[in-house]
Amino acid sequence: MDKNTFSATDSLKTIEAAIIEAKSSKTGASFYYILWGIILFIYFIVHTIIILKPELRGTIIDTFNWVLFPIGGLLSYINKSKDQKEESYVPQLEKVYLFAFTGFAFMYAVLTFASNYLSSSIAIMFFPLIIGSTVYVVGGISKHKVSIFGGILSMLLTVVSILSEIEIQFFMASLACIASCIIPGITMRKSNV
Amino acid sequence: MFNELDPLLHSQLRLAIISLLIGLEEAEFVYLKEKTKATAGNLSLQIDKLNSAGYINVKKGFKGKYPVTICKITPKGLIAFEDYVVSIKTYIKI
Repeated sequence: MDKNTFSATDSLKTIEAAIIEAKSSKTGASFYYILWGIILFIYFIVHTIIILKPELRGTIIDTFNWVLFPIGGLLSYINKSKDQKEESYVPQLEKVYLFAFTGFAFMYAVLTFASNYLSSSIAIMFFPLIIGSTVYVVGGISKHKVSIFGGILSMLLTVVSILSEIEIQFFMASLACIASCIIPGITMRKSNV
Repeated sequence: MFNELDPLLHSQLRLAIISLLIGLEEAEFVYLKEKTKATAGNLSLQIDKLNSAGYINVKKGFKGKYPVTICKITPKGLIAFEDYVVSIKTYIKI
């Protein structure tokens, strides 16, 4: 492939081809969007049902709802290990996902902490806002339109959430999981992002 | 007026390596070999030249039982690439 000299046009063609090639590299983010979208959706929808049907309180569904999180963590770990073995490159977007979702996790942790002091469910109330804004920003950087729209829709759900009772807040949080995680994840998978 | 082109980057393979690394956080030798379709020997030689110039950073390690060479563009390499693109534009009216 190497030539000592080549024209300026060849040079630009080489740059363009290489950059397009590198940009088309898969990030594997769709797996995490779908997995965590489904886990959080189940978690929030189970809470909604339990609040609406108090007779389910204390049942196996209520007691073991938290088990979803270690399962998600384990599946993420297995997938990450598999990817590290198979992949021969690290896309730039991978860092964007890492920082954006770590920021989301910190925000959610702080809101959960604040909920205990304020005697209010602000973590659930603002969940659609923080997941929506995270997905919106990442979607903007990665130019993934479904993520941008999903993020906006999710942020708008916060308005309903603020004006509603706790069971609707949980329901809005579950809808936010569909709008900003599951649907963008499925479209990413289909378009090989 | 034509700007002088960086001789280190004005080589098809070296330019392809740098251009690929621009869009990635880092890449393994096998990835660069697959994308550039260069021979292992030639690719290794060009990587060494870019590494010696400080344009890329080369890390050698192991992935499981197998040896792996990971390349990453450096800030110096990024500046050199940007300068090269600016210079090449003087040769073509864009």
